[in-house]
Amino acid sequence: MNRLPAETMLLLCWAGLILATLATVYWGAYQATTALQLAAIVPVALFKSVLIIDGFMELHHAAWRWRLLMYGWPVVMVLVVAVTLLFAPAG
Amino acid sequence: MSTSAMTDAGSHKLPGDLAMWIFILAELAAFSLFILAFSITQFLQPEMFASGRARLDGSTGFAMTAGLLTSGLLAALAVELVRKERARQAALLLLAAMASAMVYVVLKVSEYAHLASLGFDLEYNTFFTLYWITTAFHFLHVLLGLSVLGFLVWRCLIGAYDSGSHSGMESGVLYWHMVDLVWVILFPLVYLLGAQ
Repeated sequence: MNRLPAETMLLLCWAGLILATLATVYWGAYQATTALQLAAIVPVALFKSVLIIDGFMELHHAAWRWRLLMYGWPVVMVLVVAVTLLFAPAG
Repeated sequence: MSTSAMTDAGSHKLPGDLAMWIFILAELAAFSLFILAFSITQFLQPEMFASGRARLDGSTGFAMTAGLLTSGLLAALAVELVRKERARQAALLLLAAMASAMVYVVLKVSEYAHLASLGFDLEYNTFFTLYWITTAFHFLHVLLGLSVLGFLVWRCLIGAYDSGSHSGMESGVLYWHMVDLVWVILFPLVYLLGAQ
């Protein structure tokens, strides 16, 4: 299987990151419930993290322990954010 | 200690220096504390956080994010050029990366000045206390990252890196990507989620 040149992969990652950021801003401005906002924005934030870690930081060939550590950080962070937002007491 | 050459039949390759990866993990742990503090306080005072967030401009946040991400792309492309023995062209890309990052710096300083002029300073309420501390901590990392990129420009110009020896370049650029990674999580947390 032919692999794309590294420069092309980096440009694709960047395009994905910009489009994902646009989507995040759009959904953030949309006056939806917190649950709907989370359902839209959290997966996009994780997608962007993967693009940075795999594409820009080049961890796709690293040992699984390093990948686990680096991918684990955004996953844990968005989980904390999501849980605290979802279960916040109503005002 | 360089890990660039550490390969196991072509796999398990970790770019840059091992020390930089350990430093990056320590930095992520530090940012975790800020994100935890922000999230837990938001859990306790959701209305204050929603009204505070309404004072922030998401479109400015988009421009700042685009500036940082474009800078990350240019820095990553510079590493590719160094691997192809084109260090002088890499220096130009790194300068472009610094210029792109300046979009973030200028917008952030403008946002700080605007909020301060409206009285939303560090002591206004808990949201703004955490907003200022968390984003300023990240802002300082951007400034440090810009210094690192400037150092890499100089190293590229004096021919310090080539296709066989560039783990220092990879490490410096990895630090810059870590700054991007943190912002990707901070941006929706601080600017978008939970807004009413």
